Amino acid sequence: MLELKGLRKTFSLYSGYTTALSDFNLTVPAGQFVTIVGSNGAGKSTLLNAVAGSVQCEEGSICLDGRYIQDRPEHRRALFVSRVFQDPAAGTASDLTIAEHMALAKKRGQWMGLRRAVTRAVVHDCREQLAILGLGLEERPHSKVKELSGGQRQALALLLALINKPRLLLLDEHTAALDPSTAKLVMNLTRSLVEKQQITTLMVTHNINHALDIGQRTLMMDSGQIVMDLAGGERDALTVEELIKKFAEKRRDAVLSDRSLLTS
Amino acid sequence: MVWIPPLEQGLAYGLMALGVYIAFRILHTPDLTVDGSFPLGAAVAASMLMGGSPPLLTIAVAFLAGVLAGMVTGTLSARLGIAPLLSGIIVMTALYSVNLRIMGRPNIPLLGQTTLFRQLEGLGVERMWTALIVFLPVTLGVGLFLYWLLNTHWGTALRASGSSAPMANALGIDIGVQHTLGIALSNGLTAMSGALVAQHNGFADVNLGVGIVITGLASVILGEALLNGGIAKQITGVLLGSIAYRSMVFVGLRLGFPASDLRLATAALVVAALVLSKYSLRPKSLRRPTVEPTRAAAAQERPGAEEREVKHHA
Ligand SMILES: Nc1ncnc2c1ncn2[C@@H]1O[C@H](COP(=O)(O)OP(=O)(O)OP(=O)(O)O)[C@@H](O)[C@H]1O
Ligand SMILES: [Mg+2]
Repeated sequence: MLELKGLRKTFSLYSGYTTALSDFNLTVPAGQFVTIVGSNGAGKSTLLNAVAGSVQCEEGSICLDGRYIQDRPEHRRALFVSRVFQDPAAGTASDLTIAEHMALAKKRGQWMGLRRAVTRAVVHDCREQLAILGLGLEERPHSKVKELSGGQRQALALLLALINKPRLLLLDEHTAALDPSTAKLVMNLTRSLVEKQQITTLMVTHNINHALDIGQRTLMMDSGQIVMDLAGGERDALTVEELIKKFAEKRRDAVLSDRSLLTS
Repeated sequence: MVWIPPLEQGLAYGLMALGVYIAFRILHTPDLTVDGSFPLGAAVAASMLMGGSPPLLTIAVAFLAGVLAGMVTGTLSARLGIAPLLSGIIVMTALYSVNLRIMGRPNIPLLGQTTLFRQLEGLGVERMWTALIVFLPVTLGVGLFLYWLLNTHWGTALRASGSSAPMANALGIDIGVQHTLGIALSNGLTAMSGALVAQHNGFADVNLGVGIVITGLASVILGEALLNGGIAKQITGVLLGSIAYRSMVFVGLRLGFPASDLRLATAALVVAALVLSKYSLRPKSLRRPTVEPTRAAAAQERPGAEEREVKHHA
């Protein structure tokens, strides 16, 4: 279970400051898949970064399965939290081979010792896991990741994030940099892999279909707060158009034609 | 035998080239500390030899001194947030004074001292071979050690920190610590190289390091032109590149180019190599395909994908 209480994050700018999260509270039961929507600058990425530890909040607590982790640096949360970035180049390392990624992912959050990283067992495992993706990557575990396409890299990043079953998975627009068909492929993988393992997940998306379609709960954020929280029958009954309308109502400085918010 | 001097030099400076390879290619950090840690190694070795220390010990201590210098640079950039390039320049500048302090004067001649090479001569080895007998096992040994290290979990994590900091961080790797240790290792090897070169040349000088990082980079780039691929190939490439670079210098000097033009020529070489590697001269059809064949396979499952791409390119 993930419990966020009173999270606050302000960024200072040249002119004043901006509040990215203000008195943010959220409780996610174990195994729940939550999708998050909201306009640009609503604070979605900041929320995920705060939970992952790459952003430190001024106030508030983050409790994951009974452990308070808000004071730990990012690399000391990695044992429990894993993430996939929007940019395929950030989530994978160009210079490393697929098998080397697998070897490191297996040690996520653990002591990286002085043993050979890519053993036969790792390569074997690697092939087995890659076969799940159905992209043909299992044929080439020793390829450098820079030789892969963006979609392949992102699918790999997703697979790696799920190794050793993290307690929490964070996905920040992880299909936004991909072309529509590849995005669909990665999203389908997300659905099948994550739902199968029932991992507690926060997924930010700008695609309203995905937001309502995947997972069990949808949050809408604006100005660093949750303005709508939908689950169960209410969520199932909601159509894309209704959600867009609701969004316009909820948003204080509502701009109906906010193209940046949602695509369906 | 005319091939011996460039080979000796290539191997001795090869350790420094490996250091530059770690900083520039593995950590993707333009570290200029090297210009100070090379003479640091020379200074440490020379003053220890003057004090009567055994030559092998001086090389080990030179390595440690270089590690320390690298730690300072790494800490400046990783902990105090100073840009890596600037951190290197700061430490390089500081090292100039440190080196003068260690030596007590700008230049120490080692002609009368028991260097590693003198020791071997004492054992009855012909003078011509002494340098190779020292450099071959040392440099190849360091190369093998690096190959092993970079393939461990720790070494892979080091390469990950250099290649993608966000990913390394998300995997639980402390990139600050890794960066610092990487720069430390790089400068340790450089200082070791300085210690060997000083003993070989028979003197240590505070100005030994000026521009050395560019000669290291030249070796790395030449090496990449000769060999590229996995870690083993990269390390071998760097050493071959170092030998190639020293051979070019040797030939240039033999042809009568003045030694004072060496740095200018090296700078030009590096620029040419960097530009050439960006605008490959090979025709497009021979270049490695960046679009993977699997993309076509994937497209079969998803009709329409190929079309869209075609449109995109058009
Ligand atoms: N590093 C930073 N420095 C200064 N301000 C920042 C920083 N990161 C985020 N912000 C500000 O915090 C607010 C929330 O940003 P955030 O990136 O969380 O939005 P988002 O909901 O992810 O938007 P998008 O949909 O565009 O990704 C914005 O006003 C943004 O300008
Ligand atoms: Mg964002």
